[in-house]
Amino acid sequence: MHATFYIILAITSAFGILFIKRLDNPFKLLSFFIFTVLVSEMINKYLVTKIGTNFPGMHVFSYVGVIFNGLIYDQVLKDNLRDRKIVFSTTVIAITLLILNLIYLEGFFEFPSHGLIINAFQIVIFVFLTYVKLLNNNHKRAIYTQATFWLNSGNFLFYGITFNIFAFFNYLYIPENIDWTYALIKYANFAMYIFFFIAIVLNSNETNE
Amino acid sequence: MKRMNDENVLIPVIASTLLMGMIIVFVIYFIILYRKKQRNFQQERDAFKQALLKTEIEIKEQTLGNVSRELHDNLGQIAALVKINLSILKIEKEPENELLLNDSIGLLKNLITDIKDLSLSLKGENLNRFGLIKMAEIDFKRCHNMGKFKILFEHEFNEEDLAFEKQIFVYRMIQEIFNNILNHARATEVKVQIRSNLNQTTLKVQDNGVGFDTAQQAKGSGLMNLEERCRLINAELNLKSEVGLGTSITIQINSNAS
Repeated sequence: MHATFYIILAITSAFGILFIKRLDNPFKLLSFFIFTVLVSEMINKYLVTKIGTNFPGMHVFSYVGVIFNGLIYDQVLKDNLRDRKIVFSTTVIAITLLILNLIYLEGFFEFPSHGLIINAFQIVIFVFLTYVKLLNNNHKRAIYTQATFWLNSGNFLFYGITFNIFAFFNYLYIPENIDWTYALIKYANFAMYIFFFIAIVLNSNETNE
Repeated sequence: MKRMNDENVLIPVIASTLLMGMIIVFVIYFIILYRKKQRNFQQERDAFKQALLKTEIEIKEQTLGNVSRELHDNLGQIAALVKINLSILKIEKEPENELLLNDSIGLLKNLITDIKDLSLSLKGENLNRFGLIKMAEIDFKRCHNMGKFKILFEHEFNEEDLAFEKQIFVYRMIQEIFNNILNHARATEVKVQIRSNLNQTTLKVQDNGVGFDTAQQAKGSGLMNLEERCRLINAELNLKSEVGLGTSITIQINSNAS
């Protein structure tokens, strides 16, 4: 299963980096972000073998994720100053909360569940802003031919699930249900990166037209 | 995966299904909303385009009307005055000049008739006075007088079958088609048919000119004008042409369509 996940990440980031010149800014950043996800997954695996846990890596990567998502959506929503301000302030708040969480609640060697909620909270706000933008923009093209729709829906699928699981469905995380929760998150994660791949492919064609 | 009892399995299954369901429903709702907006956007764009075309055609009609008035009231009057002046000139001693003078008067008569006909055909409102068939006949006569081609005109047209505004469109389309034939077709014979019933009016113009390859040749402004006018009155345009075999244009107008 892990191998499939790595393959999806590798293909998506390789495609993005290979056609980087044909991509718009959000999708250039997305390609680099997916590449960093791939690298972080490898580092986490190494950490497990070396120190027995990958939680420090997950902590560090939650910062990387928050910053990258802020940058990506800053570019997606660049036409609207109000949206950009929301993206900037949400990202600053998310980073502050991550630091506070690290200092006061979940240390480097604890599972960063709050970090994931913060990450999901940030993305869900961006996702709704982007859906509104898509609705208000010109409607010349079918929605499923637009790269932004796939980027947004991928994020919405994964972070919508993650946010709900960690924020509202604590019940799902009790030992009896952990396999179900893990499977749900894992498949949503697969779906998200497949959606990202579609987004990058579509954008490389959009820019090329 | 460890074995779980039924209750433990049921709750996460329901919860995760609900969660996934909610997210999928949201995305589907978004897609439906987007498509609705897309349809509205398309309708607004079409309406705007139609309004723009209509205004353009109204302006054209107005300009043609002004040109027609100018031709009739100004140029026509001047030509008539020149003819009168020439008629009262007395040239008795030089018979050669008299011949020349009579020729000039004859030419001037033709010029005045042409100006009147042209003025008549430019003003769309004249359709109200003379009707589509009469106006088309005046135009055909003028084309025939140019000596370029023979025109066979068949009609079974009832003015009441087609709204007056649409008749102006049909008349302008006939002029556009004839303009194209005069400029490009090199035809010796043109057949025109206008037929109508309560539901539909059909205009068919066939020439035996040089024709063209419809797949190869880019659309000229004449053909694009025809298409635009057809779109505005929801008419169907059918063009058939082959190199060396002439061109046939059929326009079908739904009488009841707005």
